[in-house]
Amino acid sequence: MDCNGVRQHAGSAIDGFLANDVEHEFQAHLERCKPCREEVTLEKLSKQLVRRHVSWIPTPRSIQTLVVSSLHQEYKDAGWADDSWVARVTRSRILVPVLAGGAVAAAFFLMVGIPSDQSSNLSAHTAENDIIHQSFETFALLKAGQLVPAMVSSAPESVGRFFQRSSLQFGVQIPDIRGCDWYGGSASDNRGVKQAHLLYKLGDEWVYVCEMNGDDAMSGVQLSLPLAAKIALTRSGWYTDPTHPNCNVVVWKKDEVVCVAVSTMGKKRLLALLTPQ
Amino acid sequence: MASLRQPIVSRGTKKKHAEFEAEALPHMDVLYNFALRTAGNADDARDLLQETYLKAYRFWDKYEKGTNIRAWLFRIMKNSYINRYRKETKEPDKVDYDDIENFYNSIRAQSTDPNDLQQQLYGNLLGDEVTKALQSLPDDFRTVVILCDIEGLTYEEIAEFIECPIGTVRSRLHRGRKLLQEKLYEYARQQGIIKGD
Repeated sequence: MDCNGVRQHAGSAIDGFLANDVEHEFQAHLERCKPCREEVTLEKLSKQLVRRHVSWIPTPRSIQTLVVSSLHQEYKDAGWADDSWVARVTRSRILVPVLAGGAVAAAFFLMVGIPSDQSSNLSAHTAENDIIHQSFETFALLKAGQLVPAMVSSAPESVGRFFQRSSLQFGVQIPDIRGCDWYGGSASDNRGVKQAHLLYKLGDEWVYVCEMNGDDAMSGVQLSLPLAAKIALTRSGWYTDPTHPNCNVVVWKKDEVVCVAVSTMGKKRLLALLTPQ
Repeated sequence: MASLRQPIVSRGTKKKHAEFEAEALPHMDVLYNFALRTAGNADDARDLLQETYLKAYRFWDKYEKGTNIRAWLFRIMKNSYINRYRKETKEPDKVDYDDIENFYNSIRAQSTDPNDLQQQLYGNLLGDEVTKALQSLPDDFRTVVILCDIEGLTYEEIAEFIECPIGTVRSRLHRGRKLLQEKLYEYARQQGIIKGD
């Protein structure tokens, strides 16, 4: 081995990675070549100094905690931001039967829209064009799993984001109902009449809210409200059926948007939820 | 709407989180030490470590299972460091190698016995001085010196870490160590630990 060979293998020799036969040649050269010996000694010194003086420091506990906490925060954020329908279904025992039972209906729901009056140019108030009646029907289908919301999320913010992306031409009111297990949303367009559908699941209870442009509800031809409801909304902005105290429906009008809430829970509790202090 | 409740995290996310923690967290000490030697102080090392783990977590799907996770984490850290400090990485070939050779010539001209030098430097230099000298090396040289001399990685591992051929690792290590010697020698001379012009 010559001086060039020694330079080439010096690092490996110092780090103990040299094969035995090469090592032998390497050492033989060093014994007879002072400049190479000195150079290798100096390089070895460099390694020794680093190993001696630059100590290996275990990560301080405070930094370990910081890293693990920040990862956990990311984990939680991922939960909030998780908009994957499949992921939600797989983690939700409630939604599995809903999806199974409603796959076909979902397509119908998304393509055709919430069942509403199929005839056009209706001006008279009938059971078919009654928004409250339709809301009860839709609610029953949702509970039975025959209709599935287009989006479901455990994050209430997702509902707002969903409707921001939709092409609805009115500002959807999103009731601040706390403590829900999940939130669902859909938008429908039935021959120009656009509606927003919100579904809240709170333990065993359900709340469904159907919303539409005030003009469509109050003076439209495809949708209608009972006269008493129209008068109450005009006067106070709120309507509940006074003749049926157990009828769990609440209608309100805000910012030119009419909302109809139907629920499994009693009217009193529903009103309390929809009008948080 | 206000935040109403704790999130329900999907099974996929849970699995990902568990996998990441199990695979990536055991390498924290190696990364922390590299961050410490690269950034030069504990605060920056902490930030660099945190940033590295967060990036790795976000891009966990990009990690090819079964490959060297430590090398993958290391590369994330190295890129984070470069981006964070916007350092112009000095290419190894741009270091004036003649300066290093001159250092050896000067030692020889002074008839300094490397064995004496070893004793003088080894016994009198302080940790801070070596750390400072290491810190002042160009990034590419410092990286291989840290990985080899502090972390004790093999050349093959280092090559995987820095995504370079083993020959490049050898070359950078050799030059890095020589640069380090020069800096330490110069420091020792200024401090009067060793004699020299």
